[in-house]
Amino acid sequence: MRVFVKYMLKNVCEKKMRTFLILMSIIMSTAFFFSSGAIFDTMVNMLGDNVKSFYGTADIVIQPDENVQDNKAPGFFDIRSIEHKMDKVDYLAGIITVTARCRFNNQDVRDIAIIGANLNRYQEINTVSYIEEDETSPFEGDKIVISSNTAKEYGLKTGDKLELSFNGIEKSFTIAGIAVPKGLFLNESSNIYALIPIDVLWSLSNIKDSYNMAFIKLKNPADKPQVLTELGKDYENFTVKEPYTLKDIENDASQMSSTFMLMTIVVSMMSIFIIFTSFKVVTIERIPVIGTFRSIGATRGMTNLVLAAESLIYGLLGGVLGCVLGTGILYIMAVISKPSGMGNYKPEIEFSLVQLALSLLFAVGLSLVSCLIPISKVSRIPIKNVVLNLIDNNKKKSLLRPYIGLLILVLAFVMPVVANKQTAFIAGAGSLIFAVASAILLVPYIVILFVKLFGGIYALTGASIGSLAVKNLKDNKSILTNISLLAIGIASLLTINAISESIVNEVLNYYKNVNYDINISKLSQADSKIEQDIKQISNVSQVYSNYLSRSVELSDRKGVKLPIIQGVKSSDFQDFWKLDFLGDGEQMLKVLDSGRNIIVSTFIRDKLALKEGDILTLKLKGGDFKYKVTGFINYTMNNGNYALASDKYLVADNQLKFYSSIFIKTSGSTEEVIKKLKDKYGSSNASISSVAEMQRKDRQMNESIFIILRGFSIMALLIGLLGVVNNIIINLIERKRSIAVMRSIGMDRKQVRKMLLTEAAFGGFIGGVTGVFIGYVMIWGVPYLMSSMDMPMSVKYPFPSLPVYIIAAIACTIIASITPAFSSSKLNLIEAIKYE
Amino acid sequence: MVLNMNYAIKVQNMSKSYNSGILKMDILKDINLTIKQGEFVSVMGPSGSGKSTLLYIMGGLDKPTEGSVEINGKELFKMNDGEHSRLRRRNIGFVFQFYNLVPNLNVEDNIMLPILLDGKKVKEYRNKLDEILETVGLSDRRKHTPRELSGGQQQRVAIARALINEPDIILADEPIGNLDSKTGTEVMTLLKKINKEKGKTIVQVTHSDEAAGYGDRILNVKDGCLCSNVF
Repeated sequence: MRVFVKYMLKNVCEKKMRTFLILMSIIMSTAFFFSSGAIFDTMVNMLGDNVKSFYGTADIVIQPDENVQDNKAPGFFDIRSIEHKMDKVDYLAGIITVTARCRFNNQDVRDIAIIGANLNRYQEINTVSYIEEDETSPFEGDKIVISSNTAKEYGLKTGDKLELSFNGIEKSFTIAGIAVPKGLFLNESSNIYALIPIDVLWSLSNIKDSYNMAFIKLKNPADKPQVLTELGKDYENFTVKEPYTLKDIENDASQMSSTFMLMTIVVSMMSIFIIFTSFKVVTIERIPVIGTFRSIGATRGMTNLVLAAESLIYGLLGGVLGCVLGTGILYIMAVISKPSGMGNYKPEIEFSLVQLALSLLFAVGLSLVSCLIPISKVSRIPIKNVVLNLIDNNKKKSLLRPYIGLLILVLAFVMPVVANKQTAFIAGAGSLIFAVASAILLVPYIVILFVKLFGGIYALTGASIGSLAVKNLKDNKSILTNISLLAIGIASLLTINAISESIVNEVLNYYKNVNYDINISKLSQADSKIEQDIKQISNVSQVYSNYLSRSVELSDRKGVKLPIIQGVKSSDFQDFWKLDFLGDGEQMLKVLDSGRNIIVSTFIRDKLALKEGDILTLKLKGGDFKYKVTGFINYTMNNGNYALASDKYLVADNQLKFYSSIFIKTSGSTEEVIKKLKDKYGSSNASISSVAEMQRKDRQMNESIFIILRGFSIMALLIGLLGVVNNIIINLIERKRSIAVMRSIGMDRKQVRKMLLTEAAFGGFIGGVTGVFIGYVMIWGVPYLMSSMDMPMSVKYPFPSLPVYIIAAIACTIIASITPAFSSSKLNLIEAIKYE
Repeated sequence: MVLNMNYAIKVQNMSKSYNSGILKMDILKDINLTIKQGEFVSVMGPSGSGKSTLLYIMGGLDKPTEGSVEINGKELFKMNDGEHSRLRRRNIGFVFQFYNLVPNLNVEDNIMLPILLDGKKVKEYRNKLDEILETVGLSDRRKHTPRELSGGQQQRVAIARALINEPDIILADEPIGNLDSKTGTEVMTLLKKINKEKGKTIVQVTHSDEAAGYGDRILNVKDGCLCSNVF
C-alpha cells in the first residue's frame, strides 16, 4: 500500500500545472460554495444589527398615526394606557423622536435626530456605552449624549456646549457623554443622533407623560402574536408592529444567498468540466502503470482506488484551502453588502462547523464526481489491453449526444417558465446546469457547423494557412474543451452584466418617467394648508399631493395584501408620471376616477390571475369596499407591487387625513427650492430629496450585490481561462508531431505561428458566439425566476455589447496562445517526428 | 524542373556531433557524398550509425556541426528559415517510417498540404491530385482520414504528399520499416516507378537488404562514417 501512496503523491507533485489547475478549480468552487452558504447567517446578523440599532431589543413598537390626536398633542399618546398588558410585558419604554437644528462650532448647520428619553429606561431597549462620560446620571437638564463619530467630525468633547433649535425655540445643551458607535449610534449615515432628557422636550412642547413611540419587551416572545392582536384592537389608529421580523431579514438574506448560490453552480460546473478533462488525461497517462500494477496482481478495484485516492487528495487539499479562501471572500462579501450608512460597522462573519464540514464534503464530492467517468472508462478496458497499452482513443461519437444536448437545451429554456415560488431556486439551478451541460454536449457540433462555414469562405478566397487552421479545430478535443470553457465563462459574465445593467436601467427608466424635481415624504400632518404654503415658495411651479395606502388587505383573498395603493388625481397625474399603462393612459385614468376602480401592476395581475372587470374587496379603515379592476400597468419598481385608485375614494374609504408625500416641479434652481423647503420643514422628520438624489441612492442600493456577482462571474471566467491556457499547452504538446510533420514538408516558423494563432482566434470566436448563445438561455430564465420569487424584473439582452464579448473571447485565446505558439514554432523537428 | 547541375545533392566535409555534458558524441564524421539527379540511393547501416541523421541533414531538418550540403547547387545551411521551408516545400518530398500524416485531415487534405503551405490555389492542383491518387492507387480513399487506412495505404498517402509539389528529390526514412513484406514490396515498387517514370532523385534509409536492392546505389554508414559505396 505504501508503494501506491508514494506513487500517488509523486503523481500529484509531478505535474505542477495540472495539479495547480485542478486545485484552483476546487478551491474556487469550494470558496464560493462556502461563502454563498455562510453569507446567509452573516447577512441575517448584519441586517439584524442594522434594524436593532434603532429598535434595540424591543419586541413590539407602537406609534400613533399622524391622524391620532388624543388629549395631548397630535401624534402623541400616553403610554400608561398600555400598562394593562403589563403581566405579559417585561418592560415598557416611551420615547419622543424629533428633529432639531444644530449649529456646530457656530458654523456648520445640520439637522439632527433627537431622541428624548429617560436614559435608564432607554438603556433597557438599547445599550449606550461611553467612550467619554461626564456625569450622565441623573440624565436631566441640559445634558446631551452624542456619538464618537459626531464628536470626531466636529471636534467635540464632554463639557462642550451645543446649541439646538426646536422649531425656532433655541436651547443650549452640554455634552455629558460621547457614546460608542453602536446601538442607536450605529448607523448615522443619513441622520446624526443625539439623546436628551425627555423632560426637556415635554417642557418645550408643554406636554407631560406623552410619547410618540413606545417600545415593548415581552417576558415571553411567544406571546408576541397574541399581544400584537390585542394591542392592534386597542390602538386602531396606531401602528402596532414588530420592529422587524426575522422572516423579513431572512428573506432578504436568502435572496442574496440564493443568487450567489446560483453563480456557485455555474463556477462548479466549470470546475467539474476542468477536473474531468484533466483527469481524462491523467487516466490515459496512467494506463501503462496501471497495466504494470495489474500484471503483478493488483485488482481492478485497487487500481481504481489509486486513481480515486489521487482525486481524494485534490478534494481534501482543495477543500481546506477553499474554506480558508471562502472565509476571506465571505468577509469581503459582508463588507460590500453592508447596508449603506452602517459607516464604521465592522461586519462579523458568521459560519458554523457544519458549514465548514459541508464545504469540505462538497470539495471532495466535486473532485470525486469529476473523475468518476474517466476512472470507470479505464476500469472497463480489458486487462490485456491495459497491460499492452492497446487503447483505442478513436471511439465513435455517440449518436445520441446531439439529441441529448438539444433536449437539455430545451429543458434549460422550459424549466424557469414552469417554476413557481417553491420550485424557483431548483428550477433556476436546473436551468443553469442544463444550459452549461448543453454547451458542453453541443460544442463539437457547433464547431462542425463553423468549420463548414469558414471552410466555405476559405474555399472562395483561396487562403491557405487559415483554412488549415479551421480544419484543425474539428475533432481536436483540447480545442473543443477550450471552446466549452470559454463559452461557459462568457455566458456567466454576460448573464450577470445583463442583469445588473437591466436593474440599473430599470431604475434609470423609472426616473426618466417621473416628471417632478423634488419629493417630500414623512412630512408631519401634511395637509392642504402645507400644500398651499409650498406653492408660495418661489420657483415652485406645480405641486402634486399624494395619498398612499400601504399593506391593504384583500378581504376576499385570505392573506393577500396590496403593498401600495397610490391615490390618483386624474387631472394632474400624467403631468408628474409617464407610466406604462396597458392601453390609453388618459382614458384609463378617467375611468379610474369615475368610481371605486383600481389599476394594478401586471405583476399583481399575474399573481392574482386578474382580468379586467374583476372585483377586489379592500379592507380599509372605513370598512370593506369593492373596487373594480379597470386596467393594468407595467411597473417593476417596489418589486412590481403597485396599484392606483382614485384619491377621492381612497381618502374617504381609508379615512386619510394627511398626504403621504408631496411632489414638486420647479421652474428654477431645484437646489434653491430644496434649501427653502429644508429651512421651512427641516426641523420636522420630513425627508426632502431631489430626484437626482433619489436616483443616486437607488442605484447605490443595487450596486453592492452586483459588485460581488461580477466578482463571481469574473472568477468563473478566470477559472475558465486557466483551463484554456492548460488546454492550449496540452494541445500543443499533443500536436508536436503534427506540427513537426508540417514543418518537415515546408511549413516555416511564421506559418506555424500564424496557423496556431488563427486556430486560437477561430476557437475564441466560436467560444464567444456559443457563450453569447448560452448566456441568452441563462438570461431568458431570469425574469421568470425573479417573478416566481416575487421580484419581477425584465432583463434586456444586451445586443449592442455582444461583439465586445466575442472580441474578448478571441483576445483571451489569442493572448493565451502567443507563448505556446512561439515555442511550438521552434520545436526540435527530429525529436518530434520520431516515434518514442 | 530542368536542372543545370548533374547532381541533386552534394555533401562536403560534413560532420555532426552532440555535446552530452563533458562528452562529445560524433554522429557523422567528415561525410563527402554526391547524389546525381534521377538517382535512387539506398543508405544502410546498423541502428545508431547515423544514417537517419544524414538523411535529415540532407533534407534540412537537422543542421551539421561542420561542412556543407548543397541541394540543386544551393547551399542549404546558408538559407534562412523561410528559404529553408520553401526549399522543403518545392524541392524535397519526405516519406517517414511512421507515415507522419496529419490525423485530423483526410487523404486529399494531407496530400495537398505542401500546395496549401506554398500559398498556391488548391483548385488548380485538382487534376494533379487525381493523377497522383491514381498513381498511388488511392482514388477511392480520398475522403478517408489516416486512421481509417491501413499502414500501406497511409504510406502511399505520404508518398503522394511527397510528390504533389513535383519535387526533384524524395527522402525516405525507412519507408517500409513499419509494413508487412507484401505491402513493403508494393511501396518499394511504387517508389521505383516514380524514380524511373518521373525521374525523381530518391534517397532512402533502410535496414532491409531487399528494399535497398531497389536502389541504383547502396551507401553503408558505420559509426558515423560513410564506409563504402555499393553499386
